Amino acid sequence: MDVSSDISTLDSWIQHLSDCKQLPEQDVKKLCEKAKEVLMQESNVQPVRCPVTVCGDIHGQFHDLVELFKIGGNAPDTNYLFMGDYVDRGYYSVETVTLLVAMKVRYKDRITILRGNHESRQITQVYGFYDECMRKYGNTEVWKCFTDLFDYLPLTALIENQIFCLHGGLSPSVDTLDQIRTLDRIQEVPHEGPMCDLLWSDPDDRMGWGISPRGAGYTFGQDISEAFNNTNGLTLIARAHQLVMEGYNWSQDKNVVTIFSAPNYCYRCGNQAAIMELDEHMKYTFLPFDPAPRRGEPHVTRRTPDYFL
Amino acid sequence: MDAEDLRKKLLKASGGAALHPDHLFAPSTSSPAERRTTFTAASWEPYFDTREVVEVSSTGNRFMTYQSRRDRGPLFVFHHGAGHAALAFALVAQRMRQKYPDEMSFLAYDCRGHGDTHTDGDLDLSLDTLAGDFKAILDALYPNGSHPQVFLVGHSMGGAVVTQIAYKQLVPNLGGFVVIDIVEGNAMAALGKIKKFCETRPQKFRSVSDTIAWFLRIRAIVNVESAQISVPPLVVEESSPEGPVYVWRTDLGASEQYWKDWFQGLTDKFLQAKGAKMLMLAGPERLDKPMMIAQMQGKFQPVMFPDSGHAIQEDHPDEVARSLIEIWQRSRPLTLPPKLPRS
Repeated sequence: MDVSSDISTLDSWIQHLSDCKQLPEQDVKKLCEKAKEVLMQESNVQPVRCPVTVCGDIHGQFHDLVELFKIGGNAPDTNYLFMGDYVDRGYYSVETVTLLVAMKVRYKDRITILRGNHESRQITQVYGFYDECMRKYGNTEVWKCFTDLFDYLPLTALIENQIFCLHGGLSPSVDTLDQIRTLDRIQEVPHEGPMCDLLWSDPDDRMGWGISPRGAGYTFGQDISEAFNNTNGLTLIARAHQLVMEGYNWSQDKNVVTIFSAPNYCYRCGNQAAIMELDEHMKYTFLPFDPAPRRGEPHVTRRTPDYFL
Repeated sequence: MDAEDLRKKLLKASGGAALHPDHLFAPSTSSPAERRTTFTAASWEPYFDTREVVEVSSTGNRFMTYQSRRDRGPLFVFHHGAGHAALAFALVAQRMRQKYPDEMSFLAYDCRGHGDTHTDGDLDLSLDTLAGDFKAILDALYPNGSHPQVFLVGHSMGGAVVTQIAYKQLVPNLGGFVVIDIVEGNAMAALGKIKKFCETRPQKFRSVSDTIAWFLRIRAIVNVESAQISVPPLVVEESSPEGPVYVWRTDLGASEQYWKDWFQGLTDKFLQAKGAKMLMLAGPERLDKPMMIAQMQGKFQPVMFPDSGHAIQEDHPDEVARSLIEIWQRSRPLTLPPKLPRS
């Protein structure tokens, strides 16, 4: 396939996906192969230029992703950096992750997609993506394709050598960005160790390192984020991973900002979402947004247990 | 499966007998395959070191306890759900003892109104009474606060009890608490269905084997090994004109006045209580709004068993044991991992 037909194929896929329609299994396989080649070239600390719009968790809320593009502008007119958690919990993980990966392949210098803790074989088998793939394709092939691809997603990004972006947070094993660059990331997210921490940790009001109530990663205090930013010449850590009711939340004396981009998370949490727009002078603006109007989405059906006493 | 499905299943399995007031027996069998299967009540002995009655001197209440006690390490205390009994945790306690034979203690007991425990008020199943019973048993076994670090594990109603204990800080040296398959929003929404379930389940069995078969048939318990040890204490023998019959030890219907007491405010108490907390659920869709927000803010450790029934600890004892060991391991003072080499 030559370059121009490649582009037109990708454009037609993106067009198709934008209507919240899934791609045929064979096309998903082709897309993931191409994406693997692109992501393989990227660094564990992928450099990104401004202007760029930074986004947090999406979790399969496809119609809210469309809303996000309305608020933030369409690619490639707007450059995007997504900080992981594209799948699980929402009803359209398949369409959401396929669209984002297609956009990445089509505009590889304008779209950056990082790995979140949900981009994992183990987590997706519990929180919905696996079941959705089975439901929509009738087999595990598409799930296998995507979860194999997730191993290649970069762990972190660095905007103009100033803003460090990642899904979770810092790791007690890591003081410098160079240490992150040496990690062998092409693997399932481990249960512990620096790669796990980067995808699982949270900032906390307590100083120093703490045991995470989540059961994975650590909590880190302002002293830790200040020292990390200092050591690496950074102005800010931008991360996602935690639901914040206003869609974004400053913490640790503005050393850390949390961005969460799934409004009314899981169709029941009542939170706003936000994205962070950085202009060509690295000036930031937060754009909050509400859930998109629902169009015939399936009802939230919750299996109630037999009895619980 | 919700209560309605369950009712239909019961109806189908019993040919309508379970719902007919004149015929309260569960049928002995539902299919030719099951007809050949008899189940034997299993002994507690492979699972705990001792089975002993603990008498609380101030009240005279006698609690049946199952223990494996060691001189060092943490103490895991298990509180079963309503209508169940201590041995619902037999497999988990055994699996943990196999991994840590010398440095963990285990205590499970039949709570008031259940199993082989006998109290002055078997029908008083209020949360504070049940929490007080725990404290009385702990004090009787470990006088003057001599107990080691405690981890509380509660299933269903027991989850509400251990949350109450943690929230009220009744144990000075609490390492953490674990709640199994109970979330306020869902529980409150299902109260009507629970009532229906209590009314429509069979009232009598012809044998203990039949009782075990019934639990397995409605898939309230899937694991045969666990059902054979956990179910026998749930019924008591009664004589009748047709010979001995087995009736429920616990009148679940009589506990209805406490259902709201168990579950209302559970989420707030769970989140406000101090210490490490873990929530084991038979699937992530069982989280209600405040618990989902809390999970997404990293306030507790969720452990999901999507293919499990309600009695997670009975159906998945090895995985539950692993997670309980993990919450203990993570409660130890933090030792930081080594730094990656700097180039």
